[in-house]
Amino acid sequence: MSSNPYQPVRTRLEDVARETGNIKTFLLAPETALPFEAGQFVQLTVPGLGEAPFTPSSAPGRGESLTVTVMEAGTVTGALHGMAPGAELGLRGPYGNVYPLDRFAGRDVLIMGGGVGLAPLRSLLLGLMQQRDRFARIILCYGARTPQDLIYKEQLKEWSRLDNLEVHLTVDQSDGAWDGKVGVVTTTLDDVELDAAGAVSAVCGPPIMMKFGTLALLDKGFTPENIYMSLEKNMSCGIGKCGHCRVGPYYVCRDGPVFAYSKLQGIKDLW
Amino acid sequence: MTAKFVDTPSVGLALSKLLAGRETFGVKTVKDHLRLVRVEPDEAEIPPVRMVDPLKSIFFPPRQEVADYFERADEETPAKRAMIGVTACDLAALEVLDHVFLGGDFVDPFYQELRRNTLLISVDCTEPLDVCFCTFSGARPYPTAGFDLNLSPISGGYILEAGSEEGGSLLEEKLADLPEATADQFSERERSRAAVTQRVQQAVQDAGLPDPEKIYEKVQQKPDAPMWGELADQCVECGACNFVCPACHCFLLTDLEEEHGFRRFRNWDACLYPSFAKEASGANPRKRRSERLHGRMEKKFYFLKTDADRWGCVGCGRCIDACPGAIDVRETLRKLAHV
Repeated sequence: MSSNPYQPVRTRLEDVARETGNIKTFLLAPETALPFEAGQFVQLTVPGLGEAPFTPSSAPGRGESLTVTVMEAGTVTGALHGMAPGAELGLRGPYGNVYPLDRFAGRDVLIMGGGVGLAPLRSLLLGLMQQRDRFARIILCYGARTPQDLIYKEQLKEWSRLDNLEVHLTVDQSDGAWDGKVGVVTTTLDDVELDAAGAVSAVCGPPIMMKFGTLALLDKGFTPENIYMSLEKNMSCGIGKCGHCRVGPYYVCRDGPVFAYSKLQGIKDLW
Repeated sequence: MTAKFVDTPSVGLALSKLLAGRETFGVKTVKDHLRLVRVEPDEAEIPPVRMVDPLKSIFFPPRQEVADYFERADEETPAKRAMIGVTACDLAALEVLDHVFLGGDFVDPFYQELRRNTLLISVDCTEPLDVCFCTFSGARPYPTAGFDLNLSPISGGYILEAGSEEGGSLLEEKLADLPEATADQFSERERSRAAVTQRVQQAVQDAGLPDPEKIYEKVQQKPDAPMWGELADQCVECGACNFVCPACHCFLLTDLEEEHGFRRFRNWDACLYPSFAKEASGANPRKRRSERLHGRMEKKFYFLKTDADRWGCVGCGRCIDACPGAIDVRETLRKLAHV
């Protein structure tokens, strides 16, 4: 029999870190490494309950351990949130395509994330920083509903101090203690000066943010070929068979999850 | 390929010789319906038209265990099997399923094993149903590829023709004493096939069915046409059309906790169900019934054509029989061609 693509690899939950009221980051150690590149995703099994797809939030690499940052949303993620280090999980993957870093080379790279959508972008950003010299400017635009809803708070502070990474943060609603920008994430683009026509962008966030974020990047002068979206559709198999994640002519799990916006323009049920 | 003549009284014996030692499926009339059931080879009917159940059931069962974690299950080689009475429409649909489960970077090993171990004995259609429209895509109501052996009814018996190497060797090995089919018998078969084809073509023409290439264009251009809303008024989102369709392949993985370890199942799913595309975030790109009805046609006439170079509808008409809302896919296609 061919190898079984539905079989998860036993995985130990090594550590859990709370990011916000309903988002945690889980450090996972699979029995067999899952080497992955930025953009690819994995299927995480909560034994007996089921699976959910996540793009790792840790740096791409050999995959001996990796992190996923998860918002509590359903049965699987709810159970995951109740787990403590030492728990037994499952992983399979990685699946899907990767960010075309060769096309990013030599250009300004703008990364725009909303809420928990920063998780997969963090993996990309860490990947870019590993080979920092290949790219021109790297700009991170990140927004969340309130200051409490920002994920990776400590890392955001560290990143803000780097001189080879430009960080623009915003929140939809301030809480008084927040002395930064207030406004939806697209407003951070007003503070960024760049030659958008030659730059590339990567976007991830809730559907509404993906839509308005993409439109704002187009307004800013980014070309549809250079706006990369990481889509997260309903998926079951992750390997292009079950039919759930179809968008127009694509299966997101197989042909994505990373798509240039130019490939998605005109698809009716995209958002 | 080899072709023999077998007279009617000897068919059962011939099938028994061919299929000795195999677990055999076939068609039997149950309360006036042609059902797919386990049979002894000599009890199988030679059906005049497609059975009620889609052939996919024996390769892609409604619910199948696909993982036992974290233990790796012992690899069992499934018993050799056979299926008697497959029609051309089901063979066409099997090409779609082969593309899905055997193509791409990942092979579904469960489907692969069942396919490999199953000998397919097909039949010519001689009595097409009112709902049959297989010729709309240029297909024929008799098998042209994808079978191991085919039975074509002619006077006094059947032409038993091999369509694969395995079928050919079986025929030579087990039924060497049967006479070769003669040129006259082949001519009779051609006349009979032409007559049945003509009947289905006439029905397709009477129903005003468009060329599927037209649907390929329109389904992309007209996702917002009022016809989808009208269909939505009829649809009760039961998924019956999905389940009886021999080319529908969507599934959902579900997990169960057992006393020792965990098991994972692959279950048929239906794109007409409201939550089919619903995301964890709560967003649902096809939340309206009209969007899902369009999505199903888009999958069959655009996605699969692009992805597999196959139509996702083979014209078997099962969905017409199954729909409790009286949706007739021929009507849908006709409307879509003219919006």
